[in-house]
Amino acid sequence: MTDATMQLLAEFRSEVPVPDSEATNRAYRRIVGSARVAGPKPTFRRLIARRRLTAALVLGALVFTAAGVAAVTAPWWQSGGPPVDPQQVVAVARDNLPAHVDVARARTVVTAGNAALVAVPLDATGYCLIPAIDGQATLGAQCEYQVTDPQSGDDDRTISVTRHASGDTRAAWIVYGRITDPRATQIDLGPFSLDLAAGGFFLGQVPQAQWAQLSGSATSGAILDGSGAVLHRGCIDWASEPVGGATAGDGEYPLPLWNASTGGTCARQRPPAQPVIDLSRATKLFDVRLIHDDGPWKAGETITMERAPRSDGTTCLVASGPGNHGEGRGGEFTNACAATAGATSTQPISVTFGATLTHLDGKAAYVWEISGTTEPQIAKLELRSDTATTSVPSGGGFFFAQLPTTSPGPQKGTVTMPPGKWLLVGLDITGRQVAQVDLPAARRQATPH
Amino acid sequence: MRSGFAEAFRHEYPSLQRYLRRRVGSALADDLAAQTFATAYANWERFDRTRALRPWLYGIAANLLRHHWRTERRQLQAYARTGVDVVANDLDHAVERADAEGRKRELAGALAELGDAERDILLLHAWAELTDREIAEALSLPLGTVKSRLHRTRALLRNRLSGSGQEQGGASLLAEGEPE
Repeated sequence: MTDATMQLLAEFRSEVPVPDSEATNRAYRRIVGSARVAGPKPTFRRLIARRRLTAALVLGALVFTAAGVAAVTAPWWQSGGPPVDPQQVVAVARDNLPAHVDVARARTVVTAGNAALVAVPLDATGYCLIPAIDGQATLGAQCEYQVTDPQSGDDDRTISVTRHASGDTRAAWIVYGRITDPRATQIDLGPFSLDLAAGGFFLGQVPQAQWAQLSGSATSGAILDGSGAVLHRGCIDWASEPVGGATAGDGEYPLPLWNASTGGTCARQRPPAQPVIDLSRATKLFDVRLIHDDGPWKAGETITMERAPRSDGTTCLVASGPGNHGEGRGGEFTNACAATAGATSTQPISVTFGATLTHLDGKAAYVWEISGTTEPQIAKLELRSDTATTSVPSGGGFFFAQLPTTSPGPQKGTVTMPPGKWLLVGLDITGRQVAQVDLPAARRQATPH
Repeated sequence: MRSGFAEAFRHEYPSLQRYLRRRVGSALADDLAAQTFATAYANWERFDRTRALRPWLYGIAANLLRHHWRTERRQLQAYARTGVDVVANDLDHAVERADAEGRKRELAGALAELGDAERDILLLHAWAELTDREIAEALSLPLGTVKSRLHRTRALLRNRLSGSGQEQGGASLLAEGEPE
């Protein structure tokens, strides 16, 4: 390449900035610090997540690396009282938390009026936090897998979560989390301060009189020790106040409540924009009868796969099923796509794997799903194992299927597929085989190096 | 927390995130960068520390990015056609600005016409500043393949930007799917 061409290429979009250290730290906390578990949301359609496998891998790996790590903090769960409503904790844990949280040792770690924060132990130093208000644990949950460096602040978790009014449920806005620096006794949020309970946990209800003032704003904050001395300075990113009926901002705010900073003016941080799926333009592709439970749907139920455009120009495979045309049935929902139509591939069949940790007959197991896209010459797909050949539901260049067998869970590190041969075979309109994917091999390739 | 991961993250995240932003814009890039490092974190203990880190990370990112090649191509085509670069414009969220620099529009068009795999190699070289060997490792390609593709891609780009409209040796800008 000539120098001029190379120079032009080097200058192309060179105005794109390098993220600063604050943005990098925020990203680090988001990625490493927690595997967040969304609470039930009234979403009407379930989106099949291409990233589910990644999430499962992270989850599986993180959960087990916590085992055997020596605790660096006091056994905080021993001093708290039992959960305010144990059944709520059991329900949230069953539907949302990692398979081996120790629900029997769940403890209320801090209360604030009619709000309570329950911690459920997870291996040696991990825990999941479940906030509840008015006895209802409808504000999501969040898990932290290990705490190794309390004073650095990297292990702190601070959350702002809102709930809009609906029926008999009143609007609520709470802040909660844990400051892991053992010297800390109080977090100053600006308009008000909260004392830290044993273990560094905190919980507070944002006074309704201050909602309008704080909504969408950022204030200076500090973490203080017992003498009132400032240990850390930072900024508080307040969420948007819960107003009226359902709002787009309802639920857990995507940015941490607390951001450590060296000083200066605090400005509101913008949550990263996520592509939006236009469900109003969804068109039906095919039906799938489920072999295993899948999120809100039970084995034996039929779900409908549809295609819908996304604001980033891609096309997503989305699912709808019984119960989510009217009232949402809860469960986990994610704004991701199983497959992207038209994504250039040298392969006639492009496969994405999903492995969801669940409970079957009381035992943890991974339910495996395959989804993806096919080139136009493929008229039919078959899934061939050692024992059977089954037709794979497909249409419009997309496909989706559950594997008939599961793999045991939870597993450490890379989650293995169910043993045996698994071939995805593409046939043309005459029934001639024109493509074949060895799924275990593709799965290994999809797990980087 | 995995030993050494935090340091690796703070060292590599900024450049990788910027690289992805230059490829597909901030909204998508932030997501892809997060997925890249989440994957790296999950596999951190199994990563051979005697290997170079950057090719591994950029390899993960490349695997994720391939799902968005079409988006990238469309963005480049739109830039070439209209002079408005959505990737640059999402930086300031201000009024759209028409880039009057015709050469960059030409370049955008040329990049859009490259095969996706070729564009990957070229931009890993030019923007991520990986060596040929690192690109080979990142993309799991033979070193010779990387070298030949890079050479050919440079030639194609040079021809396109020279305005001659001639392509050397009859090679097509659309090199996708070419056998090794």
